Amino acid sequence: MKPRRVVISGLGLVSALGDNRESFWSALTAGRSGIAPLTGLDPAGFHFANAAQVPDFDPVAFLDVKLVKQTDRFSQFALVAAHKALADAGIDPASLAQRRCGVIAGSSIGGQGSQDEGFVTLYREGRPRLHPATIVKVMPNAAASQITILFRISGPSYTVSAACSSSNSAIGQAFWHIRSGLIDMALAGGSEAPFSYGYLKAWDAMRVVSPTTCRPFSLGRDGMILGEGGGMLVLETAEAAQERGAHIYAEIAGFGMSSDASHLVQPSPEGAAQAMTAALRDAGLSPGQVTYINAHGTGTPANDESETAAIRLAFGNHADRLAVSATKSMHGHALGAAGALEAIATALAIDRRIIPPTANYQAADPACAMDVVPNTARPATIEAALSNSFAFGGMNAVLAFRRWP
Amino acid sequence: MQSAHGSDDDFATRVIGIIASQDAKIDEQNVTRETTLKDLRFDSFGAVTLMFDLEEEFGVEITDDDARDLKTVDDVIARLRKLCGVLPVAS
Repeated sequence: MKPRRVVISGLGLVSALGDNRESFWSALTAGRSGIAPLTGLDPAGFHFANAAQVPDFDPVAFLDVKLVKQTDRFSQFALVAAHKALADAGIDPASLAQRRCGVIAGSSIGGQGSQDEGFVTLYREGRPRLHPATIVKVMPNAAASQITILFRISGPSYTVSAACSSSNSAIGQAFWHIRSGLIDMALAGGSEAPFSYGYLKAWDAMRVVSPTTCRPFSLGRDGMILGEGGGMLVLETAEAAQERGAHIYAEIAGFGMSSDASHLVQPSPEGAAQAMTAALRDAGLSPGQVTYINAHGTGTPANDESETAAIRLAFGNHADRLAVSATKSMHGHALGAAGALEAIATALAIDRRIIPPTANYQAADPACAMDVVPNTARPATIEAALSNSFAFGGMNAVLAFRRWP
Repeated sequence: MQSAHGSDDDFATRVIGIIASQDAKIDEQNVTRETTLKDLRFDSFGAVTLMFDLEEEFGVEITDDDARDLKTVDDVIARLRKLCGVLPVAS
C-alpha cells in the first residue's frame, strides 16, 4: 500500500495579530509586532508591562450566546479558529459527521481564567458556591470537546498538554493518525488564554518574561512576551484534498519528539536536536533539503542560545545556509497555542514564498550566530521547513513541512 | 388561562425571566405557571444550572431534595417564595 500523504488545506486563527489569515500574514511579513501594553489587568506588581493579547475578541460574533456562557476564553479561541479553518478549507461542517475526522487540540492550562475567577469568589469574596459549569469550562479537554459537539465530529478527540509544545504535539499526533489510516481528516492545533491575575503572577515569579519586548536571537534580549490565541489547521489526505480541488498550503511531511530528560526548565541542545533529527527522519528529508526553520525562539537568553546550538548539532554546516526566524517576536508566546500559530506561519511562508522575519531585532549575538532574517521579510522558495516547539518539562516537538508541488 | 408572566406579581416575573434566560430557544411569552421544566427541555445539568442562577438571584439555598420536587414553573415560584419569606399576592 502506498503511504498516505497528509496536507494542510485549511487555516484558522485568533491572535494578537488579528483573527484572520490575512491580517496575521500581513503583520508577519511587515515585521509588525502585536506586543502592546497589558490590558485588563493592573500591571503594578508585575516585572513586565507588555503582552500579545487578542484585541477586541468578540466570541458572540461567531458563537451562540449560550455556548459562550458555557465556555472559557481558551475554548472560544479554539472554536472560532476551528470555524475559520473549516471555512478556509471549503468544508461544509454538515459533511463532517460522515467523514472519519478527529479533533486534537493542545493547551497548556485549559480554563485557568475561569478557575481563577471561581476561586476569587470562594476564597476572597467568601461566597458559598461555584457555577455548576466550572468543571466543564476549566477542563483542558473542553476546547477539543466543544469542537466535536459544535461540528458533530465523532472520530477520536483529545487534548495534548505539554506546556509550550502542546499544539505542535497535537498537530503531530493528528498527522500520524491520518498517515497511519486511523482517520482521514483532522482539526488540529491548540489554544491558550493565560491572562488571569493568578497565572500571570506565577509567570512573573519565574522572571523569564521580558520587561521590554521579545527580541529573539538578538543581543539585548531579555525574555519572552506572553501571548494568547488559538490556531486550528485542517489536515487531510492529499488524495482527498486533491479530489475536492482544495488549495493545499503545504504538506506535513514528518514529526519528531524527544525529552531532554535532564531539567524542568533549562533547555538541552541535545534534546532539541534529537527532536529535529527525528522529524527529518520521519519525513524522509536530509538536513540539506531544509530551507527554513520557524524557531521556538522565545527571546529568553537561555532558549535562544540553546536552540542555536541545537540547530548546529542537527544540521552541521548546513546551519549556516538556513534561514531561521522567530515569529513569537510578533504574535507573542501563546504557550499551548504557539505551535499552531507557528505552523500556520510556516505553511503560509511555504505557500506564499516569503520568510517572515524575526522582529524587534537589534544586533547580532555571537551566541546565536545564524541567519535569523532580522526585521525584514525575505522572498524565498522553501522546499522544506521545520517548526520547533520546546517546552518546560523538556518536551520537544518538531514538525517538518514540505512544499506541495 | 393565566397570563404568561403572572403579571400581578413581580416576584413570579423575576423567576420566569431567569428560567427563560437559560436557553435562547425558550420564548418567555410561552412560559406559564403550569409549564413544566421538562416541557422547556431542561436536562439534569440544565436544571442544576437553573438552580444555581436562582440561588444567586435570590440569595437562598435550594437543597437537592427541594430541587427534586420542582416540576412546574409554579413549583419553582412557590418554593422560592417560601425560601425568601415572600407571601403570594392574592389573586
